[in-house]
Amino acid sequence: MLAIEVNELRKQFKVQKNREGLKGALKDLFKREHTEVTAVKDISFQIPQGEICGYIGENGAGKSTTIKMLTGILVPTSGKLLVNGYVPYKDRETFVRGIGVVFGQRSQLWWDIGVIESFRLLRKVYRVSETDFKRRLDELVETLHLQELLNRPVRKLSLGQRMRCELVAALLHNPSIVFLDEPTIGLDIVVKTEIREFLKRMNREHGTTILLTTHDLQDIEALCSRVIMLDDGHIIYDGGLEELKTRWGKGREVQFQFNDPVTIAAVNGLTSGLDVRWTLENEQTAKVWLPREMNVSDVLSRVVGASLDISDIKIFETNTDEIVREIYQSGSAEAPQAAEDAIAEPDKAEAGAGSRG
Amino acid sequence: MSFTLSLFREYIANYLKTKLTYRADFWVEVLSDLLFSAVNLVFIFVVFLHTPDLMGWTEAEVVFVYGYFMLAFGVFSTFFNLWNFSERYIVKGEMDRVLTRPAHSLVQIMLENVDPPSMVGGLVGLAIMGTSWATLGLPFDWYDPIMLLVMVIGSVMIYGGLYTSLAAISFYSDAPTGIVPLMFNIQNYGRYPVQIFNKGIRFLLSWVLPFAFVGVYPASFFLDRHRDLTMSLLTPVVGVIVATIGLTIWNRGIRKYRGAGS
Repeated sequence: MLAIEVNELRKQFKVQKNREGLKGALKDLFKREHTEVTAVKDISFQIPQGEICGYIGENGAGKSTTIKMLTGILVPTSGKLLVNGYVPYKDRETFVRGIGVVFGQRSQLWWDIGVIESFRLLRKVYRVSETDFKRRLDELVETLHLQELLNRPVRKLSLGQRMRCELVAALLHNPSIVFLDEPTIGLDIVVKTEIREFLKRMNREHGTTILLTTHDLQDIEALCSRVIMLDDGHIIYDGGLEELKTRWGKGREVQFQFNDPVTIAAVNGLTSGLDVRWTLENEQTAKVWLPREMNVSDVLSRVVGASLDISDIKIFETNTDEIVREIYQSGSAEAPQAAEDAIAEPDKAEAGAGSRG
Repeated sequence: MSFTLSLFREYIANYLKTKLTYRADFWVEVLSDLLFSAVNLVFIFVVFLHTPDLMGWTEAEVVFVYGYFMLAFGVFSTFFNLWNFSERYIVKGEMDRVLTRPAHSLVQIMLENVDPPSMVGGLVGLAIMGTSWATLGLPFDWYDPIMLLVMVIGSVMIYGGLYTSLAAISFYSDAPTGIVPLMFNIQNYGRYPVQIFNKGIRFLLSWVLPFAFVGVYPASFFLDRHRDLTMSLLTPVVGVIVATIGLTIWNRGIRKYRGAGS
């Protein structure tokens, strides 16, 4: 079954234009000018139950706007939207009982009262029975190690402690879909790892569907089997993480540090017949680029087998960070070759965007 | 409804837990509320130093009306503490959180901002009514407490409806409007007998911004000399109408909510 179904979803905002100067301000007083800004441009995707899906994009790409439409906060301008079998903004009160929401930048908890008091209040708001509440709370408190924090007021918690409490607050009613908007923002690596582990476990044990936005691609690598990438309101990539890497990964680089000075001709000679490219970093250091489908060991054995003294070897793999940065910069997730073609034919990139995989 | 009431109990309990840790705040707020009312009462006394009678209204009667206003206003302020709504919920985007919770948005916001200290002003108003009641030697009928309750609920609904509509304007408009001070000024006229004002203001206070239903009309039910049965009994009716309008504007406005950045 599908947990989330989005069809041609669009959101437009009217933005007031403020004219410059005193004269402009006076004009504004009588006649406001508005401009329409389209934050989300007719996107479509489906997320089956039990999937962890990463939703990434640059700031202002429309991620938060989408999440807010999916959680019933914003009413879409047009398009179809079905989450958990509900149209979020229509049956908001019934609908939100089945979802959990965490906004990393905003607290769900009451600032002044003890954490446990917030949880009790949420129990009432979500109409969770006392026994369910106790069982669920015990489980969450144990996995997230919150025992000592429960009686402290939220304002006295560190960010990491608060974020773990936020997670509990969002999950007390055992939602089947969880939306996380930058859940690991500003956290240290230990808490980040803990939260990732927790989310994975929740997904495994309860089959919870998770949609998360993040700028930390480690989150994506650790959690998501699928990535939806957004740019300027369009979906530019929707598919597996591995697929993204294979398509965009530009092969690997191996750096050799030699004891004696080498020349480009010498190193080229070592790998003659292989489709690789050498560059000289300095007199004693040379880098070789090899395509993705080639085995590193092929190159290594040739170079090491030669009569040169090697003091150090490093292997570089294009990581997701780089891939994503490059896609953001080009604004399209078409394979690099296609992207180059598209420069000559701008329409093609437009048509390619939004298509899956 | 019972769900809302049970939520109300929880929120009040939490309010007490937080606010009792800042006792000074509580009393400062009570004091400033009372001071505000005291100034208005002194104004009434000063006026009556110069004349024994204001278009047929005696001092005790005017004070009685003022006492009723304080009572209704006290209850209203306790539950509709929406003054900083636009700032806190729209500009800072706390509305996002409210909208992800399974209870009506307005109910949640009312509960989150519930302000029990305002109730003290209401109780003082009740005491003022009691004193004037005795001074005026008004008869006390068995139905008076019930009618008072009905009237106060009606009046609170009027205020609630008007201020809910005002708060809902922030859903439509980016810039906070200067409408609230204007309303506040007009509402000040409502706490005195409208009969002393000219026709235009009387019409405004009765049918446009019905603040007279949060003062003289319902209070006159108990003042035999000025009793205007039609107008006083209209209080709950006007209350329901205004509250419905307010709620409708709110529910429509919420669809226009656009969230804060990020």
